[in-house]
Amino acid sequence: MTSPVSRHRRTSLVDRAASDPDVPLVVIDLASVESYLLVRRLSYLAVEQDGAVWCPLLSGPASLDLAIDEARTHADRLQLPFVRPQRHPAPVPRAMRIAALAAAQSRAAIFTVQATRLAWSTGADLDRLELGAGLEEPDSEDDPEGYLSLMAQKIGVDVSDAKLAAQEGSEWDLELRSIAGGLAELGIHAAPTLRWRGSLYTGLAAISGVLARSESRLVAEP
Amino acid sequence: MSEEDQLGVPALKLLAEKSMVAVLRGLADGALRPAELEQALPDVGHSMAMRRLRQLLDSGLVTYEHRPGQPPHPRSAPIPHEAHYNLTDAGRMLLEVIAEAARWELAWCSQDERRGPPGALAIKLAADHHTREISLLLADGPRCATDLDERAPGLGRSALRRRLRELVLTGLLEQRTRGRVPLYELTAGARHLALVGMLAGRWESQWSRPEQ
Repeated sequence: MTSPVSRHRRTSLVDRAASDPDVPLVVIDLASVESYLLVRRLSYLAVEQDGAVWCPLLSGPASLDLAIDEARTHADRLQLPFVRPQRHPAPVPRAMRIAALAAAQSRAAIFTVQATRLAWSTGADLDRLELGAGLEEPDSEDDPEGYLSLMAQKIGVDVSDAKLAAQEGSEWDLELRSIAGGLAELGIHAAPTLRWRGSLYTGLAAISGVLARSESRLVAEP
Repeated sequence: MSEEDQLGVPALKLLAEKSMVAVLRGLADGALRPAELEQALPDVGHSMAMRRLRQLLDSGLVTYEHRPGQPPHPRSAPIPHEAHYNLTDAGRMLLEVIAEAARWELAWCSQDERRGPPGALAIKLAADHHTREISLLLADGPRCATDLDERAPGLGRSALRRRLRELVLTGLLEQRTRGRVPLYELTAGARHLALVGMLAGRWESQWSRPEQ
């Protein structure tokens, strides 16, 4: 097993977002198609290694989750795969607990990229990652935890720790609720939300506007 | 046709060697002495920078200025440290492959997925034998894992499935279920990555293949 993330580390993550309004804050829900459509570009704007905070929040469906044809149009425009998960837009609490673990390791962005990519490139059920996400052909030689192993590797934890984190009642379940409480105090009740330069932007359209304004700088980067 | 005979593969493999992209990019803005190159690439380290410079010199991708009348430097000798090293035309055109690879990363990768100098990740993916083999098999349309396993038996069933999952998570494959059979197909990102390979092939057909 990998070493657990300390309570101090986790508290400081939530505190940091609350205490300094200039810290970029990204709030995501793995069940939301809007998080999928935004996450790659958000990863350049709000870089965890540079101090940005990413928080998972179990949220109700965003507007595009309820207008799936419109969501498909957005995905087509971005040339992204669009295989709607069977249970979409049902919440995915097990995966969100792993996202809470990833956030504590400052690896929430990469976890969100990979988890939403998996969900919308395959139709995977993110709440059944340890069972093969409902994707695998029956094959005795195959490893049903395959996707979970690869994603746990990206966070830097053992697959067993990721499985423990996913359980209801785990410390990461409590952490997820604690994060939700902290975000509510900041006036954030839905995902995806971006706090950028002290202002809050919720939903695909609002966040895309912020991204578009900063995109020219990002494109010139390499 | 062996892998090394495929157009573009030797160039991609050369570029995929550790720190090669960094060294080529380091020389992009003009001639540098080895010490200056090292200073510009603090993450590469002295011995790796010298090894790559030697390799580029031997491949004709880099040249150095030497005093008139002096014979060219023998291949086996240590590289002259006071000379200024510069990309040849062939080396400079190889930067176009790196630039396209960097564009691919910006278009398709998240910030965390890009490691090392811009372009290095895309080149590593494009140079990977199994990634290219799977991409070629899927170029004509979707296939199931069993079909891919039969057509690319070199990997083995478990390793193939692991690689397919990796490619899904990298954004190169999507999977749709037809009937009860999951079929893999290339994403737009995978087709864009093929362009990096095509540019490497075009470079090779224009310039003699680099010596390995």
